[in-house]
Order: sequence, then structure tokens, then C-alpha cells
Amino acid sequence: MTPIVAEPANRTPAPISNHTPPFPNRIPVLIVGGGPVGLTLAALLARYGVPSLVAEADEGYCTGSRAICISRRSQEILGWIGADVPLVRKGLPWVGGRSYFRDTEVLHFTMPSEPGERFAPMLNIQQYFIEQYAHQAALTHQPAADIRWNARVASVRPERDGVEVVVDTPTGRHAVQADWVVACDGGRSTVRDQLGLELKGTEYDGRYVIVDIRQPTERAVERLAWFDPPSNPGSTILMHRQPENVWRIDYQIRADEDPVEAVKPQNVLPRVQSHLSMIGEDAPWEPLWISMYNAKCLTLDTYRHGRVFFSGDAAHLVPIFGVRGLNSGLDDAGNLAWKLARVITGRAPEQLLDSYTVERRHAALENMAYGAKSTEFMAPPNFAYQLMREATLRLAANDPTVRSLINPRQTTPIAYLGSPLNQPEPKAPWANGLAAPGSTAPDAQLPGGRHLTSHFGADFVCLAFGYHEPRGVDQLRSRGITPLAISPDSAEAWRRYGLGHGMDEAMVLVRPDGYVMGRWHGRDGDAVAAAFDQSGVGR
Amino acid sequence: MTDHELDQAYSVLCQALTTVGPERAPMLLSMVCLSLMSRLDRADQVLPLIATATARCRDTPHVP
Repeated sequence: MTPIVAEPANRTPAPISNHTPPFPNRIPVLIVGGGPVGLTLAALLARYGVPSLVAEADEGYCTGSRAICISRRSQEILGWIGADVPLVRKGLPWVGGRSYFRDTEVLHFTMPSEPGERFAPMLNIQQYFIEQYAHQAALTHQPAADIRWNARVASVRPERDGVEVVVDTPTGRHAVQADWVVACDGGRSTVRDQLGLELKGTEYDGRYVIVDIRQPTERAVERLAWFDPPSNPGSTILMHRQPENVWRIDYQIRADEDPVEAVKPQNVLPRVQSHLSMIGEDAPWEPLWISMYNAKCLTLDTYRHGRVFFSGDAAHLVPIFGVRGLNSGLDDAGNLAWKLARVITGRAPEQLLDSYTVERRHAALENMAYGAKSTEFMAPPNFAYQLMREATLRLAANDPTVRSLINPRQTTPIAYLGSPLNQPEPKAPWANGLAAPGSTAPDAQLPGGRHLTSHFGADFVCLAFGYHEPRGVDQLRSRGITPLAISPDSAEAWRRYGLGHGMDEAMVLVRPDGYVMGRWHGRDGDAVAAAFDQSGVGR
Repeated sequence: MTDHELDQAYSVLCQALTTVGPERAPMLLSMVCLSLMSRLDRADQVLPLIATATARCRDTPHVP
């Protein structure tokens, strides 16, 4: 993609081990691709005690400007591997943004957020830091993940009970027998090519230039968007602050501009300077990165092909607008890790793995529908969308009823409607559907300050809302389900899980990836255990 | 109408405009607009909207 203007100065190179053990001949899980999704998956598997080998073609962490906005849900997932601590320490949290038409503010939006919450709705950070933190997490468990840089997959040959993968490394060519392969090797996936698979869907013509610059600023951390700004008439410009005084700037180029010319510094830097001057950012600055982007809605038909899985950009490409790329990739890793670990350790039948495609492809299609909407506003595909956008922007300054159309539709967790793992709802109603099966289990602060979601991400948890010890606790524990009593003192949790004030008792079964699998009125752990046994997640 | 419903209607209108093409777009928009106006209870509900749209059309140059 990419002329690099200057290497990000503070980028941490991948650590080089002094002692590299021999390349393994056999491995339970081979992860192709050591980007943020592959490394997070490796760390999650390590936490479950499942050995994995990560083969990354590059020599270290990514360079340049890639994913930068990490959702609350992704922060939770990174929390499962302990990467949330450095992430939050380094990243810049934010809760909303502003959009301008020419020089007039036409939208000020905020995402749901409240004091005391565990994570901000969104956090900005360079992708190479995420890779670094996930990598470190993958090395802290035993058996630690075996991560090989400069390891380029040459061929992938599916077999009946595994996959033979040939990897080229600086020490030569190695053949590895993997029981399972997970392709996390991005939009130009080698594994996908090797299996003769193609992404299908739509590409948009509208092109955006991506520019990172270093410039100190005191400006609040927000998503900033300008439509037709005086600094660059006719263009659309997005700005995000990143750590270490880096601005990420995205701007749309005209349909008649040559993409090759458009990324040349002599064409980029004056536009950036013009805009910085317009918004009063006058400190000296230097360019770090320039590349080009166009929106895509592409996906594989299925994310499991025998013993090969696809995750992240290797499985689906979603538009940049609404920040669903890496965020959906991390959810892929979170979904697959516990299922694969249960099957590999003999605690669940292999059929559990089929639910990965059902759930994550549904999520990809939802993400594409939202992403397409965002793209149609940010890069109008024809005169009709252009005309309607202009009408919206002209009205929005005075007419609040149309402002929601400008909202960037930022990523939110996708409910797994229709998942085969969802347990039937009881006839008696709930006060709300926030914790319906297939939804992400709502967070709430518990007495003492700990957050509910901090209990998720390892194994099954059964939330027992009630006044007394639930029945059948031993039945739960024997299945590896951790009961967690939620007393009526946790009024916020009771409310969010759809329980009337001080009246009901209930059991809510939460999957290792923080999704609700089922909920039952009363406090009968035996009923939960029976449903668990029938569901195909255990044996 | 909820934000979500407005968003859906917006997309349907964009698709309809795409279908009829730029030459017939003013006709389509005029027909939709007339249908909406005729469903309101009183003229004073629509006259300020026409005045605002007229002003906003004039005071900002058109983006090609």
C-alpha cells in the first residue's frame, strides 16, 4: 500500500530472541499471521494451555497507520489476556466527536459512557502497540506461544486429520503438521489463496488518503470530521489523535485524481498544512506515513474449511468508517479461542467449531451493513448519495432532527441472533432484553468496585442473581462453570439483566467470550447444568 | 420516526434516486415532498420548512 515518509520514531521493534529453538514438526494450532488478531488468538490459546505456533512473514510488528480505534468490547477482549493494562496506560480514551459542514458544527455526538465504567467507549492507539502487548501476553503463559518472525507460509495442504504447512524461514524450509490452522494473515491471505478461496462482495470507488503526522496538540481527544472544509473545498477530512503526539488524518480525493499522484508528499503535505492552519494547529509538524484506502465489503462464504479457520481480514474486509476492521477481528479471536481450546482438550465435540462461522459470519454481515451505510455518507457512491448528504449537511446546522444521519455509526457488539448455542427463553418475561441469549453480557460495577465483565473471558460463568445460595452449585462446578453470586446490593446489575427491583431470582449462563448463552428464572443450577449438557459446548 | 427509521428511509430514497437517475431526480424528490406535505395537518407545519430550505440552498454554494 504505501510510501512511508518516515519510520515512526518510537515504534518498538519485535524482540529478537537470542535462543531460537528448532522449528517444530508438529503443533496443535498453527496461526498464520502475527498481526493483532493472530497474536491475541495465540495469547488466548496459551491461557487455555493450548500450544500454538505463530508464523509471521514480516520481521516484526507492523509499521505505519492501520487500525487506531479500539472499542470498549475490544478492550475487554484484550483484558482477557492482560493486555488491557498497558493498552489503557498508553492509549487515548474518547467518548464522542464533532462534525463540521464547511466551518459550522453540525453534529456533536457522544457514545454511551458513565463515570466508573471499566473502559472508555473508544480508545485510540497505534496498531503496533496492540501487537506488542498481545505478543507479550502470549509469552506469559505456559506453554507460551511459539512466535516466529520472518516465517512465510509457502504452501497449505489440508489432510484428513490435520494440515501440512510448509514455511520458509531464514534457517530454511520447514514442513509442519498442524492439527488445526487459523489464518489471521490479513486481506491478502496466503492461506486463502492456497485453498483457492475468494472473498465476495462490494468495493467502493471513493478513495481516501491516510496521513499520520507528528505534531503536539492540546486539543481534546474526539473524532473530528469536516465536510467541504474551506481548507480543502469539496473534500471530506477525518482527524484522530493518537499517542505520542500523532495525528491520523484521512481525507477523500476527487474522483478524477490519479491515486498514484495523490499519495506523493508534494500533493499531500500542502493539503494537510492548509487544514492544520484552518483549525489553528500551528505547532511545527512532520509527516510519518502516507497511504491510500478505498472501502470494501467482502467476506468468505464460510470461515471454517475442515481444519482451517479464517479470522479477521483474512475472513472479511469491512469499510474503515465505523472502525469495525480490527475490532471485529478481535471478536473473531475471542469467539474461536475457547471453542478450539475445548475441542482440543477433549471437553467439547468437534461440532462446536461450526458455530464459529454461524456467529462470526453473521457479525461480519451486520458489520458490513453498518459499514456500507457509513461509507455511503463518507464517500458517496453516486449523485444520489452526494445530493442527499449535501441536503443533510445544509439542514443539520439548524435542524436537529436530521443530525443523526451524520453520526458515524461506530462499532457496537453484534448479537448472535439465531446462534445454535443460544438457549430457549423461558415463557416468563424479563424487564428488558439487554441480556437475552446471544447478546454480550452487560457490564455493571459490583459492590467493592470490581466490574462484572472482569469475570469473563476464561471459562463459563453462571451469574446467580438471588438472596440465597443457588441449588446445584456442585453440578455447575463439575462442568467447569464458575458460579458468581450477584446479591440485590448490585442494583445496577439486576436492572441491566432485566430483573425487577428486589423481586426476582435468576441464573444467567455467560460463555467464555462474554456472550449470554441462556437465562432462567429462579435459582436452579441443575436446570442450567442440564441445558449446558444438551447444548454441545460440553461433553 | 426513530433515528434508525430515518436512516432506513434515507437509504431507500437514495436508492430510488439512483434508480431514476439524475435527470428525473428533481421530479422524484418533488413527488415525495408533495406526498409528505399533503399528509400534514396544516400549512404552517410546512411553510417554515420551505423557508429554511430555501435559505440554506441560497446561503451555501453547491458542491459539484
